[in-house]
Amino acid sequence: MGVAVEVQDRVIRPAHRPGTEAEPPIGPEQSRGRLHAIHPAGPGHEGAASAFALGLLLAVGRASGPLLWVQDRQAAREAGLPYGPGLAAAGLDPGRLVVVMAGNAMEALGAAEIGLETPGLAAVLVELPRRLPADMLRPGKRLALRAEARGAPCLLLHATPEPVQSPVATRWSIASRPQGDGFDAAPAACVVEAALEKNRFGPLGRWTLTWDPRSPSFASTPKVALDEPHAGNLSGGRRALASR
Amino acid sequence: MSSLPIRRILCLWLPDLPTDRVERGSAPPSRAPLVLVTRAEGTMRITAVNRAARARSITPGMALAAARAMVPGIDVREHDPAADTALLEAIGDWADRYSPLVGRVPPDTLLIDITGAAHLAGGEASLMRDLLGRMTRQGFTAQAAIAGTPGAAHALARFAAATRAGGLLVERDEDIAAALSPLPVDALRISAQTAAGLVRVGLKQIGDLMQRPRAPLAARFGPRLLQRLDQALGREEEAISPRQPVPPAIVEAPLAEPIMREEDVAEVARHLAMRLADLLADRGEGARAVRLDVFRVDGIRRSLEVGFASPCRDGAQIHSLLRHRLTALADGLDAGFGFDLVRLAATEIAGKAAQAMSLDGLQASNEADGTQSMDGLVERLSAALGPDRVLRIAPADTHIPERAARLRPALAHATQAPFGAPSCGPRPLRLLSPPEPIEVVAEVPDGPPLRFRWRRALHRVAAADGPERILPEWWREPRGARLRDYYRVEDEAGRRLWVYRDGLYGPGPDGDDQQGPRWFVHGLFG
Repeated sequence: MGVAVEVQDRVIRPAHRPGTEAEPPIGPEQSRGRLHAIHPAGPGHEGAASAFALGLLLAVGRASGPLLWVQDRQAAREAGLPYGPGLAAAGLDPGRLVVVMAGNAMEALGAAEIGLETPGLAAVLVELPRRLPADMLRPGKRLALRAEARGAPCLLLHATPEPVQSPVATRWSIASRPQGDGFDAAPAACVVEAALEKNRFGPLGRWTLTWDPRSPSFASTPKVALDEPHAGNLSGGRRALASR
Repeated sequence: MSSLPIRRILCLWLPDLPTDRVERGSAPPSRAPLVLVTRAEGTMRITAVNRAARARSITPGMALAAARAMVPGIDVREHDPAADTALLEAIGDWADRYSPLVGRVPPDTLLIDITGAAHLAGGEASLMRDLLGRMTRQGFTAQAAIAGTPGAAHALARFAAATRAGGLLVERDEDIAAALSPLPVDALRISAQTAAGLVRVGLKQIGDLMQRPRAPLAARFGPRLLQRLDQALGREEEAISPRQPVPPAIVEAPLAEPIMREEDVAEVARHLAMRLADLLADRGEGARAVRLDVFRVDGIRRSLEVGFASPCRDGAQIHSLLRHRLTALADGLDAGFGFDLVRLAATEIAGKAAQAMSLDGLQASNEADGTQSMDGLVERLSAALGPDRVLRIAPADTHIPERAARLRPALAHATQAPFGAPSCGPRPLRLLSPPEPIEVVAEVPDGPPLRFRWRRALHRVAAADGPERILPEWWREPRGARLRDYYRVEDEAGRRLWVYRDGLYGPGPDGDDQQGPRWFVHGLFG
């Protein structure tokens, strides 16, 4: 079965036939041993991006084994430290977590590399500061190779919305989303808007994702197929989100 | 005396340490008179002199003015005792290459316990010659003696070894008494008053003391005098207190030719790691911490330490962590003119039972075992970044949110209590430390916030959940700590935060108005 494509602005993108509901590519099968990037959709959406990153960590990482979270000091000040009881309520066993405090981006990436040397590692989450080294391609490539060799996914959580050139398999842009009608859902519920803006191994898309701590996994509502007017230009879509 | 174990002590005396420290910086070493002065009671007093000054009859204690009168234009510097102490420490660290038991006797003496170590240097005389040679090459005046007790070695080094370029060696303990006899009583490390008192009654040499009945001496001069005599003669034990505890297991590699490249150091470290692993395996022990010392030819010593989550006697693992540490050094090892001695010591050990090997000789692979994987991860990261930056979350039994889970160094706290099911309200994924103050408009007296300003942005609350009241732990908090009402709020954009009000609106329990309550953001939800 061929892949239908559409051409827009002289760029070929995979097209989505209307009516088909694509599941977001989040799951151990698709994501083993790859590098993924997560960006907040705009200022103020860092909390949502962070929560999505943690969910992704659990969803695509191995079911057992240590989880490495490399945190930058600036991120710790702005977005807070990992909090055991909250993580436990969300379905992430805090006993699996090893938290590394890095002083800058290079140190954080180095720590991730060291983590990926460890057999039995479940997954790595690297929280990057605003200031990144000029060349992210080379450290990114090293990380991608190691992640593949280890068979463990490596997530890069960025602090800014602008995409950074690096060899990632998927790139997500996350925005917070109101739950709407009060807090009837279980207390740990988290709902975010996730836009998949780059996917080397499948179609793009946008979903509303709700975290279910019991499974633990994301339950998705497919938000929009790709033939919507602004879907072909996803940066336009991002701007629409941020202005809300 | 024969009941005490046989020891061999080397005493190194650096009589001109203060002036040598100043002079060795300049090249070529000048032979002009030099004095060091300290300000005391308004005048400048000389506290140290070099050999050339001594030859001109200038002694410590003289006033500077008098010395200037004798030698006009004499070189004068300020005396820095702190720098001298630091230098003695550094020399002690360097002397560690001969034996780890190095005691410092400030201001200018080292006592080194070389029992059993001398054969590595080719014998005691050879060791002492080597030591004195290195000290001289470094620009220090040095005298040394080896004897069976610290007291004897100390006395001989200071008072009898001046004429011996290669140091004074007393081979047999029986000869100590004879060697000490002609020395003045000052050599016994007694106070100046006691020494003066002894001279006044005609006891000028240690030999005179040895013949006297003991009881009257003790009565007249106190027990310390006899203790010092007994220590010197070996009748009483005297311990040397080294600065660092002696490691339980040490392997070392003296190098015939100095090495400079880091890869070579890593290779030597690998050999040593294998030897150490074998040594530990023979003893049925594993290392919890390991230290690699590299000694430069010019006396500087660098050390690297790595820790293990569980006792280790796997040479490859030890080597791997040392490599991480080496790579993480900011400016490398700085070999100078090269390293000529590398030592690996297990500084902390614990018992470790042997693991059964499988029939084909391979150790059962435990890679799927989560504990080993976690240990390996923690060890590697701690070696590369430092143990205080690799953390794990530890639960605590308390209602106060910031105490309920702490981030603590992972290497030091290997075992973790599991997190129980939370029996409280919603908890955020991330906690701000410290909580950030916000300006809030809320319903009085105890309603949730309606809008608030956080980090200069205005948030309008769309939905709120709470309050969850958390009272202070009266047995721990200072007086005046207030209760907190926590709310989970969601703003119009869908951001979910954990905020709390510290204190209550309205009059307090005593009837008077409390200080107004304050609001904070404490955490972030998804």
